[in-house]
Amino acid sequence: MSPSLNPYYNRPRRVSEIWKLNRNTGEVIALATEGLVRFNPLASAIWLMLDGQNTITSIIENITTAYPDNDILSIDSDVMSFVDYLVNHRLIVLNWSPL
Amino acid sequence: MDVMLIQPPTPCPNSPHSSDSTLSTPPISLGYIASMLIKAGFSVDIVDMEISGMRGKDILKTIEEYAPRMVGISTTTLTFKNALRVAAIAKTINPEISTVLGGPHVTFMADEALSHPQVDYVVRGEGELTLTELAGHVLNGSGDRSNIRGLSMHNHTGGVIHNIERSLIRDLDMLPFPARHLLPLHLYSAPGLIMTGRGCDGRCIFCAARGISGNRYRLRSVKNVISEIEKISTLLGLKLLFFGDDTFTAMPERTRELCRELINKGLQMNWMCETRADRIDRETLKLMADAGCAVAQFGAESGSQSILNSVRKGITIKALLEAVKTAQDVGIHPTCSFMFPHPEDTWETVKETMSLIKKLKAIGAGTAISLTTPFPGTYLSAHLSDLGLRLICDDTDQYNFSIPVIETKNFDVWDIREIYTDLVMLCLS
Repeated sequence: MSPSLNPYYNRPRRVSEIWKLNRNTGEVIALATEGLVRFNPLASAIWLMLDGQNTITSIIENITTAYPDNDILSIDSDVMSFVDYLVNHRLIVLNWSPL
Repeated sequence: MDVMLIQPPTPCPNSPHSSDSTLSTPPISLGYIASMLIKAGFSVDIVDMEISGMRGKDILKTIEEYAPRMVGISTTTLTFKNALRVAAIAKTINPEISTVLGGPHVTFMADEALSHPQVDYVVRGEGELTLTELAGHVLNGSGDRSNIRGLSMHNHTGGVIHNIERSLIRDLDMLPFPARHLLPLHLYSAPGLIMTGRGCDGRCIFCAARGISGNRYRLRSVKNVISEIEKISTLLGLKLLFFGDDTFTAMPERTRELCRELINKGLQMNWMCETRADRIDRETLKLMADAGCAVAQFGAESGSQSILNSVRKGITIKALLEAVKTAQDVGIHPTCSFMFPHPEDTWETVKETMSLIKKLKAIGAGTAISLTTPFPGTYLSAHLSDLGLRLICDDTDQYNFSIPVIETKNFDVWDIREIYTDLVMLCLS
């Protein structure tokens, strides 16, 4: 986990809005600098919540509710590492607000 | 300082106006207002928060340091909420600072703007004369504010008064050139923005230009434009111009005259402009190329003639293709901008748009797509339900052309995201 990631404080927001959701598979395809990237359904569910309003903690809570059979520690870790990946690939920014 | 004019930042992390964008232009309308204020004897500065990367604490510090008595904030729909935040910051520093909002959004939404206590005044329509008269009243006590045309404000009982409309400025040559010396020109990728006229006689349902700057073209004289270009090139050393008129070729004969003068004066630096397929011909394009035109942008909007008719675009696809080919022929790079979704769009018309984009790319034209957004002042915004549209987001922070804010009778938000992404990929391919 990146040392800058504070799940209680950080509100991730998508940088690019060029993405689509395959409603049959639940997968998101997004345009990244290296081209199109495809996310699995869990990552896609996280992606949909990266609107700058949700904190990482609230995203984890929502995913935990949506995937009750998954181990909560594993969800926690999955969300954090996915957010970390997206930050490193400049697909999201944290707490972006000019004012 | 008397007046600080502020361009607030957009709420988007990938703003087209930030310094790392491919085409960032200075807020020239603030430059015009600043010039008028200076001419009237006021001390003025312009702060472009977006291009300077300024945050809340930076503008707070700047307002504290320069202590303006009046703050004028330019607003589009996208920057409206940030404009309100900037006004609130100004009032926090000193409640006596007069806060004024102007620009396209508040021209149509003055009541909403004035429902926020940090906003004292709204300037509707063209701001040069209205803001100068208001500054005279607020800063020098001159005149009666109820006589200032184009001004909206609070009354003593907490309601809102809208003074009568101000007529559009007929003679644009009377305006001093924009105060570019107050702008950080080195930060913009296209600092040489110049306006040769205002207004548009188009009736496109998605555009507010008619409502903002009138339904007739008002053009500066060629002599006046050339004089500004000479100043830009000699004093400021700018070598790339961007004619920002809605339709640079609105009156082709005048465009040709301007081009001939650019050639006669040896001012053939590279330039870009926006045009329409129905307002251009080979002779004009050839002269434009000879005069330095490198890029001409055409509003294509859709690849379906029935859609173009339904949005009252007033062009044919045949005319567009001819104009684009001719531009290419004479050495001008054509780019075509599209919009989606239009109210009547179907999967079939989307296919037609994709087909036209492919055709244009095969000719060598650039293409771009943006999402249709119902901005205040547009026919689209006033007739949403009549057109079968549903507003799914009224947060103006999202009105950045790449977030769906409407659904149509044929497309829901997920369809729109899918088609938009496919169209972007096609344009980029």
